[in-house]
Amino acid sequence: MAQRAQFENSNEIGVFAKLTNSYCLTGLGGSQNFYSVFEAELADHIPVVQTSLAGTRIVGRVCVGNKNGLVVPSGTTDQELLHLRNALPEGVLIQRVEERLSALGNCIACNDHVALIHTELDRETEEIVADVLGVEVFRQTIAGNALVGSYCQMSNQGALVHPKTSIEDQDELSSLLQVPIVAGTVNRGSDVIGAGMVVNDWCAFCGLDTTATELQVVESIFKLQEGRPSVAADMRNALIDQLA
Amino acid sequence: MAMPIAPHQILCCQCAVPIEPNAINMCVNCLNSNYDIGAGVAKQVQQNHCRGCGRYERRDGGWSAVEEESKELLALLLRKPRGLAMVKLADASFVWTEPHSRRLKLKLTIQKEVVPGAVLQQTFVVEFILGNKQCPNCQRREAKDTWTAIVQMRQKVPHKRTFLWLEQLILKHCAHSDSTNIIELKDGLDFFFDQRSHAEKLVSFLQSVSPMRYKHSKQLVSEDTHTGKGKNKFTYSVEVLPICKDDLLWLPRQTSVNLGHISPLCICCKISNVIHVVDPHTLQAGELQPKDYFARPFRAALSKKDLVEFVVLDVDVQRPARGQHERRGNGTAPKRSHFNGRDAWCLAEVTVAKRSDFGKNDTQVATRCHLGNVLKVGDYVWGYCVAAAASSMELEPHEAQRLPEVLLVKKSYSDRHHRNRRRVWKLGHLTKESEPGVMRGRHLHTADHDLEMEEFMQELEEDPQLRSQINLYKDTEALERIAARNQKGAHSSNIGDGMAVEEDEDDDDDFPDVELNELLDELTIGGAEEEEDEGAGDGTGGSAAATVAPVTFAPPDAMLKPGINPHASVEQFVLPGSTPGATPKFHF
Repeated sequence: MAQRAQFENSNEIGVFAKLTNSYCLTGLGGSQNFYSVFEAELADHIPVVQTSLAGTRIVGRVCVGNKNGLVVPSGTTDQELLHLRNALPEGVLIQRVEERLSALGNCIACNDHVALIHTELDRETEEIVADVLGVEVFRQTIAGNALVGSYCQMSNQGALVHPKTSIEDQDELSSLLQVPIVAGTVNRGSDVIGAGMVVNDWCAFCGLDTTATELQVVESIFKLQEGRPSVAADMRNALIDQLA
Repeated sequence: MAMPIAPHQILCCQCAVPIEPNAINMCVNCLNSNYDIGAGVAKQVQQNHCRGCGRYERRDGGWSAVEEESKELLALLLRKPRGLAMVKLADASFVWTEPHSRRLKLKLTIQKEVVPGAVLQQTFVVEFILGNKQCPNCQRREAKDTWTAIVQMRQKVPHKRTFLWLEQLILKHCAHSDSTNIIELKDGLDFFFDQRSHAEKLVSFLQSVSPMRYKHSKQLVSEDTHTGKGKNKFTYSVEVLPICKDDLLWLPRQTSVNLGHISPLCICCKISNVIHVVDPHTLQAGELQPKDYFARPFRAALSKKDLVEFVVLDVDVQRPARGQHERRGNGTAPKRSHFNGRDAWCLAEVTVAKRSDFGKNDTQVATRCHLGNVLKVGDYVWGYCVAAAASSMELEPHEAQRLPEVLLVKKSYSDRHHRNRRRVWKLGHLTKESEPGVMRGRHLHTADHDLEMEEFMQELEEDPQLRSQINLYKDTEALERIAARNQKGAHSSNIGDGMAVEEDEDDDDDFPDVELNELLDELTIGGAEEEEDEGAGDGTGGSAAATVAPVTFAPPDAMLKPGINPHASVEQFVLPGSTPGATPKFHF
């Protein structure tokens, strides 16, 4: 199910939140509204943690994570690390990396199996990402942009990429990620997908400006239609029917 | 839901139509409905226009004389529409409109960056409604007597010769071109001006061509006590000396001493910005400055109307004039009329008789005069009977006794009849408020005026030097008339009728006739108007509007571009950072 949210009048909620299948981080806002949206949707399933990272509120842009782990930048304080350690579930690894490109969220996009990283990221960081997050790592660009984390958003079901991604790039990414890919927009035509939305395997949050059309694309590619079987499932059922 | 048709397409973020991705990821329809970059620009604008002078009001409140459909008018109009400063203007042109519609239409193409990276372009038509509004200048002109400066030119003499002459000089030098009105009055002319400097210009011109003095005064019309600014009316009172050419003068004693002990009895032989006098008995000449005159003013003892015609009975040249002697030595006999000014003078003892007495009595008078080289026996000559008029001169008794009986002034050509019938030239005229001879609705002596005009023209014919200073125009009508008459005359003489050739009065070599090559072709505007360029105009080119051809014609249907919205059609996107001339990357 895709929802709309806003962080203090900003539609770029992917900047202020990080959503994975086992936890959710939100930035420290002036009010609890933003946090409440996530809490209402997710509190029954996963912990929703309010935190700062390296003293900033832009937690979505400075860290990268999936259900297996969380990689935070070198500026993260011990106190923040401690707070995260206490709040996150047991199996989630937390690792601090010394990386020149400290906005890890902009440079790395990942789901639970694969990560795309900025082409100029350190080899050590690449290894740490692979180890901590338990993913296969590929150095990639999206529509000519090295900031893969900004211009795409992915879950284990699918991926939404920059609208100008060429058909060849989409094919290549699709074969790397082993999930369907679609080019699209959020926030009424904005092409910074990663900053405009967060997603996990069962729900997605988009900026308040996101149109119904865009929400539909999001729901369809991330397979979020509750109770409505997806087209693929329909076809499979029909196929099995025929084979039986 | 509808999925994209082709894989490289995305869904329009608003209406889910598959489109090529672009800078704001919206289809054309949604763009049109979401962004109207022309919305902030006023589509109907009031533009004021003065019917009097044809000028357009500027945004700053000033008025500009611009031609229709000119780039100046375009610039003036483009400052008007509200909101146009907020967008980038890419193109503008006039759309032709029917003049009677009182509308001007501009086709504008504007560009604006709606979101970073997306520049929209739109073309639409702005309509300017021409309203009538009198400009301050025309307002002042319309409300009567609202001039700023006036030049009152006066000469206290009973005739108009000086003014006929000055009129021609003013015309030749266009000194009147700034005046808003010219009125003829009893003793002179009034020139009205919008600006004080224009009046001063005319005064300084008059100062250079006529002997005069002037006084200026100003009257406070209104004053703003807060700013200390006032509005004044300026009056320049120009007084031309009441001395004319050919007047007989009796100079005050001190004046004649100042002029080099010239004899007090002398003739005014020429008027420029000073008075040129000559003593006909000694050929001594002098120049009387206006300030000297006004220090000791006097009036002419005798003037043109007192001239009497004499017949020359004998000429005894005392000494040949300068130049003449040498020419004779060369063996060439030049026309006498070639001698002008002092060279024309030659002292002679002349015996004359009154023309009216001629044949009645034997009264003869011997006198000395300066016309030795233009007079010959049998000529007629104008002169003053000085002794007979002594009572009008307020002289001492001993002075009165020494007066000569007769003083000759100039040669008479009165035996040349029908001169006006042979005349092939004419003069220009100042455009005055009223007809010549009419003053403020009252008729002056029109007959006098015609007579004076005729005398003035004869004087011009007799004096080549005089007419070289002014413009004479070809009188084409007269030329045709004379040509027709000559043809008829030649025809009838062929038949053998001897009486035909009437024109060939003695074409004596003396007479300095007006040659055809002295004449100018008249400049006629519009083919019909005989008056030369109308000087009373305001100098703002009021007539310009009628003559100018339109600069650009946009076809009337040019504004109706095929598109969903006839007013606004989005044409292209431009990437950020691309130069204005570069090809736009995205086309719809």
